[in-house]
Amino acid sequence: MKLENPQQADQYDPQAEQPLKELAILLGGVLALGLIAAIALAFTAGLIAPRLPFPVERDFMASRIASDPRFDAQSRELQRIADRLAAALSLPSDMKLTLHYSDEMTVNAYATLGGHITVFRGLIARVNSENALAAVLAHEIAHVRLRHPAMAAGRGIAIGLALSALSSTVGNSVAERIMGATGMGVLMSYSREQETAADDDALRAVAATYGHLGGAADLFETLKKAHPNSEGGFEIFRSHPYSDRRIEHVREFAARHGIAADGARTPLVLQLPKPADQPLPRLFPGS
Amino acid sequence: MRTILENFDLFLLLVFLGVGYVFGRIGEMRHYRSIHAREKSLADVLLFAAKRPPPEITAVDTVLVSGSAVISSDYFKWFVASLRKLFGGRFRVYEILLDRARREAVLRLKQQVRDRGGNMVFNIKFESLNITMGARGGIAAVEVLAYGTALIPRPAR
Repeated sequence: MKLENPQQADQYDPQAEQPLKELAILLGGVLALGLIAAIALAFTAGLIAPRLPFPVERDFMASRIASDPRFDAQSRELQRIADRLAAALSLPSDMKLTLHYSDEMTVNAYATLGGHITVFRGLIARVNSENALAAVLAHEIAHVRLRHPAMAAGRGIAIGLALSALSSTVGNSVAERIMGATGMGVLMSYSREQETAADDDALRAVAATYGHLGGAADLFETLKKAHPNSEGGFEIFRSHPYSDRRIEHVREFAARHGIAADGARTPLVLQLPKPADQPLPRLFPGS
Repeated sequence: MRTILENFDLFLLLVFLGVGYVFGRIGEMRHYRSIHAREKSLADVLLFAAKRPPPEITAVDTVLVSGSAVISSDYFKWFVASLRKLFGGRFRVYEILLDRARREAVLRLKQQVRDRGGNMVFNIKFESLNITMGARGGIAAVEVLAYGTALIPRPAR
């Protein structure tokens, strides 16, 4: 009987192992799964958030946003115009609007959670009638009515939560930024469809309140003229349809619904505060 | 610096992965070099799974011999393995770990046999033990124990 232990072939060659490659493939898979989960989560949150009762939104924002008392007169005048438009849009009774004036030169206005709408000095300085200002306000009110801020915030918070599964600090900072900055409208970005829907609502409200769409056309013309080449200069246009298309849209809308495209303008009552009066405005607590 | 502090957990993860990878690789290479050299030098110690030696082998004493080795995983292997658990497939990082532990245990057993002047082990068996340090999800270590009956030639009277 022959007794022997023949040499066995190595099962593993440490030189040939590629653990880094394995890690890359696995990480890629995990990230892809995470991305899909985050998108699904954001989508679901976007569906659910607008179904929350509006007072929940208001309560959420109550401690997060405050008007600057120095601009009470301006805020009151904005509120007056907005309330007329809100009546024309037949806003639900629990959907209360709160208008804020900001003394910054940004050419913009935004709506955020809880029916808070902020209009910047830069925008008011450029419009020359109440009608044009009303067109902006109506657009923002329409966002509120269609619950777009809730949708955007719901999505943002969902993505923040999903990211916190990866890294608690990254996720928290995203979620915190959304929670803390809802007042600033930084992450309030709406889709093109949402903007178009808001535009149509706004034109309805303007027509019902003033009897014609002259203000809306004025607004887009003014903004276009002020910066004929680069619309990027105006934040209001970054996510919005281009002004030429919007002017065209105003005409179409007027023709389709038998509304006068032009009419008498209501002069703007709102007085801008003297620039020398105020130092840097601090509209939002903690910002 | 700020970015590092703000994403400290991610940063820490990368450091752990880097340390685990570098030292894990160095240790693995060095261990395999040593395994290959010692396997060559101990190749004349023969191992058999058979329960009894063939009858023609006489004039031997039988001694229980054993060798055991504990090899630890590192953070990198643990991380790759925990990702692998999601998708399934070969646990390559742990296969290598077990291969090292098994071969090291056999080498220690063979060394015992040689020290006693023998060159054959019958009825060789393996046991393995999973050592998870601390809470669940901790870095795994594995023990492999090899034991068998060594035949040691009786000294001539």
